[in-house]
Amino acid sequence: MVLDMDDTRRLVDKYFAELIAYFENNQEMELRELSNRAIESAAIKQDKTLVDISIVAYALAKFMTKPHLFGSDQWGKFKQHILQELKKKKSLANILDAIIGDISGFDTNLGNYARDVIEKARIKQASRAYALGISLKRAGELTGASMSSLLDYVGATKIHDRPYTKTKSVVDRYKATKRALGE
Amino acid sequence: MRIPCDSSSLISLSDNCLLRILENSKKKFVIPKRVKMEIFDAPFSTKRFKLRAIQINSYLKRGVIEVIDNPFIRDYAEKITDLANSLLDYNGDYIKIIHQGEAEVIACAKYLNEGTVVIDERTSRHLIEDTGLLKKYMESRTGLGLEMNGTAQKRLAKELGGISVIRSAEIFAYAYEKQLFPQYSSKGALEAGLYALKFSGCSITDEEIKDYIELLG
Repeated sequence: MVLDMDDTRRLVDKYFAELIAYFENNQEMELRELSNRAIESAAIKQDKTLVDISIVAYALAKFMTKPHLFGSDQWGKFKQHILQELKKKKSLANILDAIIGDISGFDTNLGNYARDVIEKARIKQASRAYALGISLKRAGELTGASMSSLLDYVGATKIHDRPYTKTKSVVDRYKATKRALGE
Repeated sequence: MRIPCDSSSLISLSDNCLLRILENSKKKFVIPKRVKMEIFDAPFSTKRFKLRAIQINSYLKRGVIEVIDNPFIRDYAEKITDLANSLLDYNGDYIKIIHQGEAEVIACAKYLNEGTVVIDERTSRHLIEDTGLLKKYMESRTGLGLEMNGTAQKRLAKELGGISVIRSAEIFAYAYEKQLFPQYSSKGALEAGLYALKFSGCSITDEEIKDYIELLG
């Protein structure tokens, strides 16, 4: 995890500049990697703007992997609009909020899935935050993912097989279960 | 005896049509108001999860699962949330580890003087059973050196010391051993049930599932 800058503000500015550069140059892998770094920093620093950078970076990277979106006639116009928004002289929170709305709208119009890419990004990045050690509900609160969607997603990962997950032996836990449920 | 449950466990059980086990138990199950919001109010307003909300609501209506809410639960949950969220420090900033919703389940246990809670989620279980392991887990996942706040750790241990955590997996294992459902009486069904709960989000390791098959299969 990269947390070499103590100042959250500087970290936000750095990641935001990376977001613009990677999107401008169609660097899908770099956007995806930025998305991961941003959510990991957000989980530790509890910063909403870092969460939004992560979600936007993830969604834009995802678009680039979909030929029916990336190769569509409307992509050029969409990209230009997002870049204009990213370069506006407003607060980063407002810029990112507006872009999240635009991404959702674009995906709803042209995407193939009922779950839009922003919702997917929230779930995916909440799962990553949970994998770092913060609780499921805290991860959901941080990213805006619902508990139901998050459990569904986490269950399909290997998060619960990571080292230091087991806190008690099965024998001891089962004894407690029998005491609690009836014996 | 009323056992507090977290939404994580009720969702895992519901996803696998296993909430019936609660109905067949001699015990009652309780949830704080915030958990009700997570398992009923919020999903009821979605297309994706509305059916599950309706199913869970039938257990609420029949009193198999009761909702409790009072100032003690809210205040105690706030106290636990504050302690948990001042437990681990990175470069002078405390990491917010848990949400008040998770703490409310623990607060229900305190209010009811109940020694068991049902929680599938990993971090709350870490907090209740082994904060040292939580630190190791987070350090191994983040690669960061974290500082443990010894005072918060001692106070948490004092508050949560007598509580045992069980998961939906244990509830299913118990139903299997007691043969509450004839269709789940084979060793294969035990394994299938435990994996189904794991895939629904229950924090049980593959190794623990093997241990259960060895213990009960």
